[in-house]
Amino acid sequence: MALPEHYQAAPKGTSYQLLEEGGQKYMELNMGPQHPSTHGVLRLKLQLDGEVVVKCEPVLGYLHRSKEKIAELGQWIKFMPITDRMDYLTGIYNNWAYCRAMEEMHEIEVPERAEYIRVIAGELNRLTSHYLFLGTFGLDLGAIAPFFYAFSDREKVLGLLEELTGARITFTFMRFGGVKWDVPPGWLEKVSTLIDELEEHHAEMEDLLKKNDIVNMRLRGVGVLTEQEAVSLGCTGPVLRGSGKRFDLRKDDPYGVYPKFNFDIPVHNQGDCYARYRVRMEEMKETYRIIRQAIAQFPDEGPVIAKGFEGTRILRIKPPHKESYGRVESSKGELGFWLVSDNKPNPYRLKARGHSFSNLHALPTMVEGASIADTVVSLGSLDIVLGDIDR
Amino acid sequence: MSVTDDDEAKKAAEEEKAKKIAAAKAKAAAKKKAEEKAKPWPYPAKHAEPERTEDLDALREQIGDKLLAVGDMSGKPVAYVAPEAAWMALKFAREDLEFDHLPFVSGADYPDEGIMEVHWQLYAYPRAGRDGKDLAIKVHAPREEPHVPSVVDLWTGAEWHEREAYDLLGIHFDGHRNLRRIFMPDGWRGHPLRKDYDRKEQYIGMSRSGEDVVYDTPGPYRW
Repeated sequence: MALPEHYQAAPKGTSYQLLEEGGQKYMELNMGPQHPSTHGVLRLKLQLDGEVVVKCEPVLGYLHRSKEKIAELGQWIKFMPITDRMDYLTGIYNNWAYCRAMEEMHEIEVPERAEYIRVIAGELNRLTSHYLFLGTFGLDLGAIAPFFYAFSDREKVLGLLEELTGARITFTFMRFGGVKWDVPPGWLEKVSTLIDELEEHHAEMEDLLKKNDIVNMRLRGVGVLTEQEAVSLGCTGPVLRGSGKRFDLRKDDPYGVYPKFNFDIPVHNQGDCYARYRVRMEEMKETYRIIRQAIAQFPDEGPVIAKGFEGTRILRIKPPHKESYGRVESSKGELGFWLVSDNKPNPYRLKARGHSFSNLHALPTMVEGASIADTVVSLGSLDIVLGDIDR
Repeated sequence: MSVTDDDEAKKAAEEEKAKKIAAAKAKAAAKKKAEEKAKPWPYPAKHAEPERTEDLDALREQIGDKLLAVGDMSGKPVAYVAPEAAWMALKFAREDLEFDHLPFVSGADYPDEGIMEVHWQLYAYPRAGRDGKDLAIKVHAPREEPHVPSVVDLWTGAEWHEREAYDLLGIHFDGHRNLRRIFMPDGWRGHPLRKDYDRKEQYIGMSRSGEDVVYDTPGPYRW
């Protein structure tokens, strides 16, 4: 078997040695890349003292696809499908972050109708992401019913997104200066009807986990992350808002037409898994408000892409000799792109700042000193996507 | 005069003409190349003036002439700092200018100028009385062995960002206690995002061109 000499784990050794450190003996457990609860190919090297996790070290790179290198090979717009596959649960926000960075650099004016379509598609994508969180978080706790309820509603939203964009995961819907195409006729009414339906279900769905005593005992006080730690680690999104910091890019660094909407930012102070779970549930309620307002304010007509960027003209753009850092508030945090252009059709340097990369960095802080059963819960509450961590 | 003489004369005239055209083309090409070279690089962000200069002025007061240049990165101010003043500039930004969020630490490779540009993107969360503000700090380190200070003591989250920059670009962060590869496998040689990275033809028996490769041919991957 092709293993390095320093590999010490069970497959190679005939007797499994306990790790000795500072006079104490610990067991090294590998919560390996293939695991039903690691939400992707994430490897956690855990050192255990009985049931207590003494040290937790995430090992990354199992999904590294060298996207930043690939970006340098093709034209700017050809990277758009690749952004979909980074945080593959919220393809719209990946597209949008890339578009925002490019639009700031190239100074493109996005038409208003396109901005509204972006908001509606983006918020629908936020809903699908939070439904998936609800379902999989329930599974991490051992509750199976939330999975079916959440995914049943998620399918309805995905059906609408499929009708709009043609895809369920890899939307590739945004272009620099707008969106790919206009909304299909009757789509907005369908969205409106669906939002009413989902809002009725929302209370029931929340109660599935909220009212359960076991869930409360398993989530409250588990995986605590103080506000200072969260800020210092670079955590963003619900992880940050669950630790008490009131910050949302849609309100504090607004982009598009977000200033025109009336919505709140849910913030919880406890910093435990329960707080993060509540933040996401309440965000969904705010999302329904945003979508309703967007549909009400939707412009009757207008272009959906800026002039000069339609069709194949977008292949030949050569942004000016500048850099930019554009970011959006994805359902999981701050997703940003740093673009460096040297006035060529190919990017010179493109860096994707992933929300889950920094959020996962909080895991050792949350988990060390707690029992191993809480590791799964804490990891689930972070709501990470490996595609965004490894890129 | 015979026909051959005419032909020769014609040929000579054509040759002369062709030579003149070639010379003119070469001259135009050389002029274009000189123009390209004369373009002021390596500061793509230098040309625009930054809109908000309070932080840059404060930084200039702090480190003086080590602040080599300022610029604008599509609305966000950029400070180009000399490598020896990088730690002071970052500490000042963190503690005095209140930049408590570090979105990322990364770099860009500029082989023509022999420079590895290390980029810290900073953001200050909004507080009572002021909005959020951005700042980017860049340091140009020599490309062969870029050494810049590590900021894990200022922002805990820098630990993984610096590991990623080391892994993909080869930037050494002095003071980082755990600087090792994060994405690439442990024994990997080379830093993939560098412009002169040799994208190997094969990887454990898989060839880029699709041919069969023998397993014991040495590849880039060695345990």
